[in-house]
Amino acid sequence: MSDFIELNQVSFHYPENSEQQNAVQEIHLNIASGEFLSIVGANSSGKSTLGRLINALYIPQKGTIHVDGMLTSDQTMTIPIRKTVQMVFQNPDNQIVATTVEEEVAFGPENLQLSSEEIQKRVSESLDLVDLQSYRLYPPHLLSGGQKQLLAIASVLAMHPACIIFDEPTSLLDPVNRRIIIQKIQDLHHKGITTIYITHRMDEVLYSKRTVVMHEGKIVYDGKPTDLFALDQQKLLAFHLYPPDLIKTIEALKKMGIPFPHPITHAKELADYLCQLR
Amino acid sequence: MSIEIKDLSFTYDKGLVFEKMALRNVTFSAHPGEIVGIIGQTGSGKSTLIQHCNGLILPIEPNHVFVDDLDLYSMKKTISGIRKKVGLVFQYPEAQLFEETVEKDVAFGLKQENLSSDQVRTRVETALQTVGLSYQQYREKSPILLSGGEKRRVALAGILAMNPQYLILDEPTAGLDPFAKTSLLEEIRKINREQHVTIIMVSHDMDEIANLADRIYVMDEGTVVLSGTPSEVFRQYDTLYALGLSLPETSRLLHFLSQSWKGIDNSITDPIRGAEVIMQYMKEKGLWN
Repeated sequence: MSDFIELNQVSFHYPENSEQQNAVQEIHLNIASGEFLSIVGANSSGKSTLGRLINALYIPQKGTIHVDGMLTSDQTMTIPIRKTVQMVFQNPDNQIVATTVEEEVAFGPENLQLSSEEIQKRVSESLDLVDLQSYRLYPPHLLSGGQKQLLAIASVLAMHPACIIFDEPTSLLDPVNRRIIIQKIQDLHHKGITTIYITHRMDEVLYSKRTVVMHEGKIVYDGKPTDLFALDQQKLLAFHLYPPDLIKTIEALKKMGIPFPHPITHAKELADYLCQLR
Repeated sequence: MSIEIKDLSFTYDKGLVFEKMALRNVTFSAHPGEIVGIIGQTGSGKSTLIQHCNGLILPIEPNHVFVDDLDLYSMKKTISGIRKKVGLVFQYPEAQLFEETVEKDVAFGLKQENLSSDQVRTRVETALQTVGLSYQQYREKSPILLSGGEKRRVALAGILAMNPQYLILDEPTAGLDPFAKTSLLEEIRKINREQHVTIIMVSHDMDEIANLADRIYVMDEGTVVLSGTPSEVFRQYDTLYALGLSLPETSRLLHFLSQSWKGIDNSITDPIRGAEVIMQYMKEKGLWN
């Protein structure tokens, strides 16, 4: 049985003397349809490179990548692959081009040569999904940082992707907007979109079911996020990872003898669990 | 000797259509040796406040803004002295790096200082050392080829080379990965402890501010709504929640616990101390043995 996304023995390096030096080596990774996968690692660990390889922005020098059965190195497949896998980046200002919100969302579908009815339908649908319908005629530069990121997500949704790769979508946002964006990403995942979430924020890893840790271009961990944080602290530090404060508290309580049969990822959950202990 | 702001109000574009009141009757101080944190949502007035601290925005009336007992209102012609004394590092300062080498970039601010080239060299060397970068290893490098964390350190060194007594940092760790963030916070603490530089730091990261700051100001819509030590401030769960601010994880946990466990100490922000407090409470109340 083949998975939705398959990376087989993938190695990629940037041209020599290039400013970018973070290559990836011998990556083996299968992602099933509908999964919520997080990719975590320090800056320059290769996590963004991995995202761009899946999206066929980069083609590996060694190994193969299949997206929904399509080979990324096959140039005739580049456009179908990009329709299937869309990307949302850190800074929405870098991907917003149009003068109004609705034109921005229509930009992608227009390039698919869809009928104007279909384009209108997709614009409406996508703006509904991110709650920006009332900003339809706004110029994007008057939106807040969080709203701009929602707009970038809407533009991507209008392409009807099966998978979205989010590359540190919250790193420029304040905590309130961060929460709004994460909530929206979770909603979209529940609607069936395969979600790949690249981050260096440890607390955000806890939203995913499966996490992959990148370190110096290699996958050094692939499993549940809660199991990751239960690893030896020295090992985590070696990967340049710092567990979230809540996990530090749980690990300290474990050492004092309190059992934790189920993984706990939220403060409220931990409080409820402790209160029912006897 | 301190930065004192008394009953300060400020309106952008006064009298125009876009008039916006950014500060309302703000009182704020930073005393020698302190690390003072400022938190608040985007648009709450944090940046306007810190720009008053080094005279980037000059007060339009006397008796509101003082640096070391000097009223900045009367300092219009000599404000550059204040700006040397109070260094301001903007958000994403790496965007301001422009020289060919790290050494030239850090030395840039010293050009107008009438220093000998030996003195400049010493200042640059010390500043780079303070931010954890070796002078020998980095001086010839091009700033654009450095990593994000390194660029930010170079930008910080450029301000430190001016030997400021006060250092204002606007979200110094935004966008850095956890490793770069932790080491930068250590450098900031070191600058404060070893060089006795008073630090004013704006941050969105509650965990980092809880563990670093001596005192915190919480801003909302241009006013200071809460101030005090981290444990005094983060105990105010409901107020902070209503302001749309998050709490340090440990404060959140202890807040939830305190709803059933009456009397548990909810002023702790450190995660390991938090676990100890929980264990102690459970043992005292016979919930665990």
